[in-house]
Amino acid sequence: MRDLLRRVWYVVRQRQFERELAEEIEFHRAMAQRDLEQRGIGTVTANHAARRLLGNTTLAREDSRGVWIWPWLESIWQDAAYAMRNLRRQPGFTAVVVLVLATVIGLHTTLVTVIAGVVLRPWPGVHDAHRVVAVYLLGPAGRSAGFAGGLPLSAYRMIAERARSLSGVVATRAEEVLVGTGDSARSTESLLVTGNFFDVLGIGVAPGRGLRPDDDRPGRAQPVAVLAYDYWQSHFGGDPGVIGADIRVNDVPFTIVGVASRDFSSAEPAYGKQLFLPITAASQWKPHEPPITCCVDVAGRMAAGATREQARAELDLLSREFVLPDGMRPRGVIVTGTEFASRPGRTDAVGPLAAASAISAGLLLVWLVACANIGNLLLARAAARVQEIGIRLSLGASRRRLIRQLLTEGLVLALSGSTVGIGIAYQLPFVLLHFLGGATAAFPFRVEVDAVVLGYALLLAGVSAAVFGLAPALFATRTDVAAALNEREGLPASKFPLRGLLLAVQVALSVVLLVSAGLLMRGAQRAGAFDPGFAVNDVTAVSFELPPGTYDDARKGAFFTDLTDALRGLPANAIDAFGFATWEPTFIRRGYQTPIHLPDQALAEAKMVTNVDVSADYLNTLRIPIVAGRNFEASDDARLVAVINQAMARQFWPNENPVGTTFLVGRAESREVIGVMRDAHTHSMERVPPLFYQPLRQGRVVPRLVIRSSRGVPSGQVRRIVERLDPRVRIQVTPLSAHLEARVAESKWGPMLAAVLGGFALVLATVGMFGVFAYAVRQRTREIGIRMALGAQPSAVVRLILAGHSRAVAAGLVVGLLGAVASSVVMRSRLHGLSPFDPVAYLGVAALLAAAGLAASYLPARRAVRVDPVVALRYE
Amino acid sequence: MGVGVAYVPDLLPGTLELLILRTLAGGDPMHGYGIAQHLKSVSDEVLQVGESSLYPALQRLLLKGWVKGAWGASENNRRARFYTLTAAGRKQLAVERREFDRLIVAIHKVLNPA
Repeated sequence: MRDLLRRVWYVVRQRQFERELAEEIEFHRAMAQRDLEQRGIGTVTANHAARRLLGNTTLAREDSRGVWIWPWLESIWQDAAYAMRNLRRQPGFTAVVVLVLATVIGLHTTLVTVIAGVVLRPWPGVHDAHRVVAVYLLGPAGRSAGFAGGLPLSAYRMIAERARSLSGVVATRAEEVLVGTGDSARSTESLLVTGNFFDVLGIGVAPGRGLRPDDDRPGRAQPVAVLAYDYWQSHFGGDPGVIGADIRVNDVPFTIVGVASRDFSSAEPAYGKQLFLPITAASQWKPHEPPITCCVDVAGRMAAGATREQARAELDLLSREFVLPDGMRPRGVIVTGTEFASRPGRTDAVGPLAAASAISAGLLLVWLVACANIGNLLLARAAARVQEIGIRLSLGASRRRLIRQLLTEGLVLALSGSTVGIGIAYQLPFVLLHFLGGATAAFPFRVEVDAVVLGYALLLAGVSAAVFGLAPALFATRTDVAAALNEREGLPASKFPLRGLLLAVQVALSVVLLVSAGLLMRGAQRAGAFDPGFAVNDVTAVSFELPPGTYDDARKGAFFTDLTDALRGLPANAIDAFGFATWEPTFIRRGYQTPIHLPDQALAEAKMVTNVDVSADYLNTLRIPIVAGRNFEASDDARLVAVINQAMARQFWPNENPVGTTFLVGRAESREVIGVMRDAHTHSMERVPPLFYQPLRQGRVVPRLVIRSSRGVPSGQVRRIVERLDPRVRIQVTPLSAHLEARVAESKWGPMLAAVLGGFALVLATVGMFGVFAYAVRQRTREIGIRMALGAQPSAVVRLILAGHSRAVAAGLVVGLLGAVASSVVMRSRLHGLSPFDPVAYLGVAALLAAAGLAASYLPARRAVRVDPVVALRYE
Repeated sequence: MGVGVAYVPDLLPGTLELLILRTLAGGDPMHGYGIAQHLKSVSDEVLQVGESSLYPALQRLLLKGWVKGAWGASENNRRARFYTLTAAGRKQLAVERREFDRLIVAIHKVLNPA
């Protein structure tokens, strides 16, 4: 072992070794020459003589080096060649093992590929992306990532003008726009960017040009647009002649000036966006509105020589002068790289990274099952090779050499497996992405198999080989030579408790995975059938798209007043109730987040709370009951009042009646609590977050209409009313049940994946059990024959065969159930209120395993009872 | 014996290593050239070891961990690698000496049958 370390050290420091050796030999030569000179021989002659005396220096060096490397390589090669020959002789065994390993390593490498490709890489398509940083504000109410959606535009300007540590600063803002005219107008995702965006980030543009600083001069904004690569391909057929053409954005003509590079389209800000427009372009289609002041995402390129820490310190100082829209001041800034994972909040317990690690843990368990399984197969083979190993030991092979040889066999297997696995990893992410389709919109993918991923696959192969190869190698070479040579049929099973152990490990891990999968599936089932606490099935939400450029606040207010009157004028039984809100319930946290604190609390203690502006009839429409105080009334519209939910009451007024008290929104604005409503799952599928509603003020925002009707969706009537009010207004009608279904479908991904992993583990464990039982039968054929000849009942024979290993299976079950309980307690938050001890999940898994055990033992048992005593005894 | 003729006796395998270990057993660090000179002078110039056998042998000993090398200044102030015996090397020397003695006795018995 120490030898090995020294050799590795040699390889690592090879250059230095070579240099030292050369110097040493040169020294030797010089000394010899000096001695010769001292004997009175001339310098030149002495030099030659010394060289001759010493022979060939190159050869000396080669030989010296060979001591370290050559014999070692040669013996490794021998081992590998021997292993290959051995494995080729058993193609079935080899194929199974390689396939299992390839699947597991492939899956895990896929995950790493995705994580490395998505989470750990900075924006693609950006020049020298490592020098680009993203800037976030620390909100006043704690470490809040997208406080109020980003930075105020004024803060961006301040950074752009004054920050010395950044050589260029850009701001972006996502905005949905209508592209096209009339009925062919399509809602399109666009990214509003500052004019320096393409220059500062160094984004390739071909054909055409990127936006220029000139394009977004305030007051002289140019109506120009850059297309995203995919949009160019799908809507313009990749025609280079598109440059100079006009498109209508929110009914304003924009000139196409360029197409952004394909690489950049998977950078996070550009992901899913189809157009890049100057940030001042909004003034083109909203001439009546003040220009955008809030809020933008800010990124910058670090100046030459500046560090991220310098940038943070400088911006931190600058940020003291920022004023947020609600008058509050941020607590500082966060300056991060542009990697997906570095955005604040992404590494939270409920973030995408947590999900990835859960999947990773599951895959790791499957990998362990596979290793245990292969270990058992190798053990069986080693047992069958006891004779061969005995012969080799008796011929003088050292035990260490044999162990190394068996390990090499494992390594060859593992490397073949991971080679195929890398192939899988190379294709699977793309297949998955294709399969997932639109579900990945929030997930900017760019997937590549690179050195990190390859290295990971190889590491996994190496560890696999050690895990499943070492124990069998140690056990196989521990044999007593004489006994081994006498045995015809390996050693009895009892001498290999390791087999039972490995079997138990497989069973235990399968149980953990299966129970987890079962619980998650039951949880998802429950989520589909859960009680949201408000009316879902009869309620429909309607969102409005007002024609751009023509609606100012007064006209907006008038439109919705007219709409309300028209709806009231409908026949009495057409709709049961309706109301307006800034957001309809979507079962995810959507709406404004506002820092809230009580009058006697410091501002720093403020907590972010979701709030929605609603009309007076909204709670009634959703059938959310008031449990204390009163509901909104029409006269509340202009008052600073709020209805809070029970979760908020518990958080801010534990053991107190909040009705009549006030709380502060942002810096100073106060709200009086007029009522408490029952908790409803309007904003989450799991725990209900604190939430308050406040009166919707007419004008300003475009609210959504929420209608409850027990007689089907009145979309036709609503459409007609809107048509009459203004034919240019487009509406979208979405039943709340559609939102719920989407959430339920999303929440099924995890359980499905867990089920696939669990199923895979079960198949592996079943194959493992089958292998062990079958081996036991083959090993004891003679014994069975004798018993049968002496009149043993078939049932007794079967019991005999299965008894040896059923204890291991039972032990595995017990350990597995304990592990499952532990893992289910960890998963509790994802179970939608299901008990971690849900009997259906546990019984289901027990039934599955019983079936698997039966399947695994059926064939071996049948083979055992069909043993012909005569043949068996002649087996010798 | 003329100048420039390198005489490398056919030693039994491993004997050169044994000789090096014994040479270093004195405790003083020695460089490769010094070891060669020592072998030459002690053996009355019978054992003249060339570097093509000396340095591979030294590397083998380093690999086994029986000697260790450290760079230092030689008597004429040049950089040279000085070798010393490790504890493992000392043990190995004892083992090999015993083996060697047994071998010599055996060979002697073969050459001079009673």
